[in-house]
Amino acid sequence: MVVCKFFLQGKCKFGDRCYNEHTQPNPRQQGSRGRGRYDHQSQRRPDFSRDSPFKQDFIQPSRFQSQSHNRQQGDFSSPFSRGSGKQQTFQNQDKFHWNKNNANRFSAFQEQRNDIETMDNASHEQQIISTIQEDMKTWLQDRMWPFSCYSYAKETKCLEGLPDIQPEELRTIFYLHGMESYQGIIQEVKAMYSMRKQELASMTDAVKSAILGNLNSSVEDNPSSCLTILKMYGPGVGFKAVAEIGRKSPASTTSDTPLSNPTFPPSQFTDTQKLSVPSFGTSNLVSLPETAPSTPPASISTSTAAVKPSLFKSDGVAKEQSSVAVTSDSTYTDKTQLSEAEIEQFEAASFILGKIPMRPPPIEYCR
Amino acid sequence: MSFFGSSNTSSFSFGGGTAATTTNHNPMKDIEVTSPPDDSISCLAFSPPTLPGNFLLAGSWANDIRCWQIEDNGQTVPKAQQMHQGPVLDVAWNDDGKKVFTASADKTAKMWDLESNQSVQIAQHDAPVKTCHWIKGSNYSCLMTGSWDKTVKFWDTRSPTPLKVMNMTERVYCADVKYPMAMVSCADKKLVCLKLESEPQEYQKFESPLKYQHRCISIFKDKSNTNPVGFALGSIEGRVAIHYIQPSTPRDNFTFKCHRSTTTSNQPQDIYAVNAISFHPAYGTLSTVGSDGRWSFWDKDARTKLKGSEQLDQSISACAISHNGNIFAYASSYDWSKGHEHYKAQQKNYIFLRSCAEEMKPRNKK
Repeated sequence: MVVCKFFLQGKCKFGDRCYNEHTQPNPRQQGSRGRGRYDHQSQRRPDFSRDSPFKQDFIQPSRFQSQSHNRQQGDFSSPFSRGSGKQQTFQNQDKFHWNKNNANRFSAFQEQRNDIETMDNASHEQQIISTIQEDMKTWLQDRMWPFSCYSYAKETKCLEGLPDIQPEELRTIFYLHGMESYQGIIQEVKAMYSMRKQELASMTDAVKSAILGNLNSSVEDNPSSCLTILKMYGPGVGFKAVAEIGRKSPASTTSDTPLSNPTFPPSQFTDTQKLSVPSFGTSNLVSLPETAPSTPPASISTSTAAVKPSLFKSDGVAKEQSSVAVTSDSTYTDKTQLSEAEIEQFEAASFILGKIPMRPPPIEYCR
Repeated sequence: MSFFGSSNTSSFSFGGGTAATTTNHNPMKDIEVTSPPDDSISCLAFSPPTLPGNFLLAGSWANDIRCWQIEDNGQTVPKAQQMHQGPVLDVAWNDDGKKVFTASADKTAKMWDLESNQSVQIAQHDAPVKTCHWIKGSNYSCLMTGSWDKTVKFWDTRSPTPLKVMNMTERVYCADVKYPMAMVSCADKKLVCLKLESEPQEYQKFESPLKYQHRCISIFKDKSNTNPVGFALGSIEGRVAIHYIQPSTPRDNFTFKCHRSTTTSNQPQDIYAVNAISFHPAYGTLSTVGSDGRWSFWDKDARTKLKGSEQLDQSISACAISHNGNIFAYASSYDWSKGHEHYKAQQKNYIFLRSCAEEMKPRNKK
């Protein structure tokens, strides 16, 4: 990338729209080849005519070069925008106040976090906090997937308290456990996420210092460690058992479960054409001998009315008991079956992240 | 109970806004595949070049995997079907096109021998298997399965115990393999690159170039189309990151926004998840499909959008490009991005085929 010589003098009139690189005067290696230009409307012509009074004094050398230009920060009508962390806009050297020009038609594509790295610590932190607040406010109102982890900028740690849940996971839980159980879970999950987002949006001092402290520490982020979602579809929970009861989908108008109702009419399978490939033959529903570890026939749909399934760990071990129990036998594990590490965890005052036992505690610890 | 939005707003219609949106299920007039699955389609895969002709596989939440033959005149002939105990989450062909691997929420992955039309279970996890990919290495071949039990396992199809188990810090959400590179992305935005040469091993962990949950990942090759050099990562935030493993300059890596509604000054932008990314096998251009019910073609080197579609009435949950680069397949079905309220069990699901060879050609650099 060509470094802008006017910028180095403090006189670049294009500011952050400049085609050349606005960086500290360190020798920078050039890109391997120029970036492609953009096929959408040419941005240069309107700018050029607007700036013509300055033409004599401040001709941008890059405009007249025949080789293709390197991209600048987020200034093009294409939706691509720079995400590189090395983006820097030096607002204090921007004597034409380009950054404040809200009429800039490319402003929708500009990265707003360009200058985080240039600021000193206090304003850096302030920038982070306000970014988080903004993002949380928007997130609470818009329709983006709400159950996602979040970090305030790319290549930074996730914030605590916002675990990650994929739509497919929720859908699997819905298909496995039926409407009632699922609705209970969703209520809980929604409440938890929106509470945390509200907290982050309002940003009290306690929250602020917790976040900043966490960001500065080198402990690896693991916001999803508070989830016990594995219990909902993990060992002990299986589709086979549910299929015996019948899939509980609320809006299904047919009583057939998908397993028993192939809608591929068999007649379409006769291979009438000669293929050089060995033909696949007619279809048949293959029910395989289940070699998976046998899942006890789950009274899932009935037991969920009794216990409230939960996706999140709470302080005590009480929640362990309330997670979906496959049979009443596995609500408590026998103490003899637990490993030493698990016993240690149960006996400790609080769980250590990463060592939380996957099985419910023995009944002795629950009284 | 509304799933999304503040408690003041009522639940809204899919497609956003109060303006009339298209209700056409096929606005692009693409070819509809006959006998589509009864429930949402989770994954699509085209047969490899070793198999003459084009065969398309689709796994769905109706527990089935269906196979069609796609003929040159555009006709789709249903060929065969297999079932799982639970919804099928991923599907993969092996290198010679004779076997198909399917990963399901019933915690297993099965191998379907197309010649005999039998399927055998080959993989077992403790939680639903989210991804499966076939690895054909120089001295070994195996199936890589990633699951929500936080492990990635490698299976020799002949043995019930895995060749290797890699523990991930979090549940595996998406993965892609292009020998000798594999990428795995987990919850909490963890990204791991594996190299597969003599045996799969972890090569590097990446910091995520995105701010929100990762949704899909796809590896791309260099200009000469020989070596994998980077990946495209899609998130729930309507953003795709292009990331090179070893960029020549930091500016090689960038992100772009996609699958967002057009901005108006007063209303916040509607942001949709990017559900799948596919790279064209020859051109290196990519296609993305999103929850907004649109697909788009992009040229990442010229950094432009090549083509965008009209809006379908449902989200597009999966996409695939045929091995010769002529056919772009995309599946229109509900992806659960708005919770169970918007799930209609009787809504039809579609798979559309489009001839994309012209539209995906990269833009010439001027």
